[in-house]
Amino acid sequence: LSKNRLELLGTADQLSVLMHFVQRFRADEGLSDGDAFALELVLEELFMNVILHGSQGRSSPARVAVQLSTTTDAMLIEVEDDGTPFDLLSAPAPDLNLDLDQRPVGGLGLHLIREVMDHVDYQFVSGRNRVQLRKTLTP
Amino acid sequence: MHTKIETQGAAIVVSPCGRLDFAASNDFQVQMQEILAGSGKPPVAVVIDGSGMEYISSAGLRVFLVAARSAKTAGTQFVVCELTPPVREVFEVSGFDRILTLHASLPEALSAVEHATN
Repeated sequence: LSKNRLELLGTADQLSVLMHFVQRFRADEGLSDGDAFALELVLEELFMNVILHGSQGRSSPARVAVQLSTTTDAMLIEVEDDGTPFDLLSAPAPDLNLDLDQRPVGGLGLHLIREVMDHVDYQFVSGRNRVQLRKTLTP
Repeated sequence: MHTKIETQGAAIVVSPCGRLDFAASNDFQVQMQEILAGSGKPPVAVVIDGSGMEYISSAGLRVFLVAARSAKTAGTQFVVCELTPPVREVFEVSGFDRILTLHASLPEALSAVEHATN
């Protein structure tokens, strides 16, 4: 098992475990504040998304695997879960021009993921959701 | 995350300190509801001082959206100031700079609130 891989249950109390894992990766890789912020944000949104959507119609929480790595100029994130199939790329973009009273409460998490990352890919492979993301590192 | 609450003139200044993630958002939501309800009558103005807020996710943004709506309904001014650069970026990417009143500094926010009250 790679040191940059984490497996956990898709329950809200595991978010702190995930964030601890991110903090260690950040320190090991010497990520900038901005890149670390983006990584934390994207992983929280993905993880909470699995909790909200991935457990629908199931009696037990989804299992989630997170793998982080860096290349010379980018960080790569892969999140897999065995929850309900959910293509986050199919979610409609929120209308940011709506006024305060009309803005829906929610729906921003997936938008943030797409905004913060340079590349997002979704596949449903062998009964698992697989999201692969890439962000160019701040020089 | 912890939250500091103090009164400055007609305004209640709320300073969330730390990370406003999913885990912290429920408590903060409850706090904001209590502050906006006031004791007996809704406050004239609520200023959120974001200088201590290191992180925010969509769960945190939701608290701001709900609070701003409650404030509007109650006739309470609701302004946000001193956002740290990464948090401000999340607000901007989400279009929250269009639906909320953002000020660069706390004195600026307090002065804007004061002028609107008088």
